[in-house]
Amino acid sequence: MTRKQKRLLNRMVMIVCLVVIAGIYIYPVYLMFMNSFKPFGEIIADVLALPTKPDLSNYSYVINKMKYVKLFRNNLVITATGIAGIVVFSSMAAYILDRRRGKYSSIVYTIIITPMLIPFQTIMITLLKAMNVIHLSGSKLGLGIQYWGFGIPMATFIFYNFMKTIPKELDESAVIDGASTTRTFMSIIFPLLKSVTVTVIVLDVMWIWNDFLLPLLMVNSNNETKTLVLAAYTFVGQMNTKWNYALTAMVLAVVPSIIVFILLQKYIVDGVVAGAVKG
Amino acid sequence: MLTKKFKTANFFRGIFFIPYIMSMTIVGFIWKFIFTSGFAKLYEVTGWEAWNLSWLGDTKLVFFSVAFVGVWQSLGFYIVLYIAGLQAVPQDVLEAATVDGANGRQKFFKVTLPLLGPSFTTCIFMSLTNGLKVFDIILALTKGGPGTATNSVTMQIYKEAFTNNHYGTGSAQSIVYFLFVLIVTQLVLKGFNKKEVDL
Repeated sequence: MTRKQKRLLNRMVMIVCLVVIAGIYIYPVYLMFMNSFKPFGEIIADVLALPTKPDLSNYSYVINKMKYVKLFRNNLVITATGIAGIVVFSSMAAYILDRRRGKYSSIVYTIIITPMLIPFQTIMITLLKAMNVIHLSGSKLGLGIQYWGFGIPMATFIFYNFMKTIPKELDESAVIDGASTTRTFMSIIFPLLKSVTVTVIVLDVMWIWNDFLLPLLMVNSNNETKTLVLAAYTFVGQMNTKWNYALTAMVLAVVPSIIVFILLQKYIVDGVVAGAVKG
Repeated sequence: MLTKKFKTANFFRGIFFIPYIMSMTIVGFIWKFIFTSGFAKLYEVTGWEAWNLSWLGDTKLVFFSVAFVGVWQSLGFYIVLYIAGLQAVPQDVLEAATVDGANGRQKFFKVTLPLLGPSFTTCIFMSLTNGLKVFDIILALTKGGPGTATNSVTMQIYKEAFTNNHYGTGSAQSIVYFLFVLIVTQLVLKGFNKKEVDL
C-alpha cells in the first residue's frame, strides 16, 4: 500500500466514524419527527419502525387545538419588539458612551453592564411584582419590553467593544459636513456596525424565541398571549401519555428554528461564536 | 476533527448544532419520550440490561440522565467554540514544530492544546454558569423528582416562591444563590486566567 493510499484510507475511516457519530447524535430528533407521523397505536407498538403510511391527522389536530398560527404570531411580536428595542437602544448608548468619554460615562457604562452578572432567578420574584404594578405583565408588548432590560447589558457591552474600532475621524468629517449627532450615528456609524448587529440579533433571537421562564411568569395566565414554547409545554403536560399529539406539538415548536437555522447557518454559528468570545 | 477542510464539514457542524437551537424545554420532552418509550423498545430488540433501567425513576440514575441531556443539548455550541479556537492557532507555530521534528501527537499536545487555553476558559466558564442556572431541562424531564433527587437551586427558588407562595423565603434563597454564583464564577475565572499561556 502506498503512502497516498494509506492516507486516503485513514480519511475514509475518519469520515465513516464521523457519519456514525453524527447519526447517533441526531437520532433523537429523527425519532421525534418520525413518530409524529404515526397514530397512537403504532407508537406504542414500535417506536423505532417507520410509519406504515404517513399520517397528517396529528398535525391538523394539534394546529387547531394549540391555535398554532396565533402562537406563532405572538412569538413574532414578542421577539420583534425585544430585538428592535435592544438593537436601537444599546447601539445608541454604546455610541455616546464611547465618544463622550469622561468620569460620568464610565460610571454609567459600569451600571449598564453589571446586570450581566445577576442570574435571572435572583430577580424574578421582585420583577413579577414590579411588572404587575406597572401593568407590563400579561401582555405581549410588555414582555417584549421586559426583554430590553435583560438584553441591553450584553448588547451594549458587545457594541461598545466594537465601537472602539471605528475611527473618530469619521465622526469628525461628518460634523464638518454639517451633520448633527443623530444624523452622524444614523447614516455613518450604524451601517458600519452591521457585522456586530448581526451577532446581537442572532444571540437575542435565539434566546427570546426559546425563552421559557420569563414567559411562564408573565404571559401564562392567558391563552391569547402565550408563546410557542410555553404552549408546547402546557400541551405536552396535558397530553402526557398521548405521545402522538405531544410529539407533533414538539415538532411544530422546533420546526421554525430549524428552518431558519438551515437557511442562515453561517451567520448563526459565527454570531454565536462571536458573542461567546466577546462576552 | 471538524476543522479539517472537507466538503461536508459544514453539514456535520450543522448536525451537532441543531440541538442547541431547540428550546431546552422541548429537548427535555424529546428525551423524556426516549427514556420512557424508546428505551423500552431498544430493550426488546437488543436485550441489553442498560436499556431496561429506570433512567428517570431511580434516584441515582436520574442525575446522570439529566446531565446527559444537558450535554447533548449544548455539545454543538462548545464544538463550535473550540473550532473557532483551533482556527486561531497560528499556522507558522505548527510549521516551526514540524521543522523541529515533532510528530502529529506531539504537535497536538505540546503546541495546539496549550494555545487553546482561552477556549477552555470560555467553555468551562459558560458550562459552569449554565449548569448553575439549569431549570428548563429539569422542569421538562423530572420536575425535580423523584423525591428531590434532581432539585436544582433555581428549581427550589421557583417552587418556594410560586408554588408555595412564600415570596420572602424565595427571595432570601435567591440572594444566597446570587452570592454563591458570583463567588464561584470569580474564583474559577481567576484560577484559569493564571494558567493560560501567551505566545
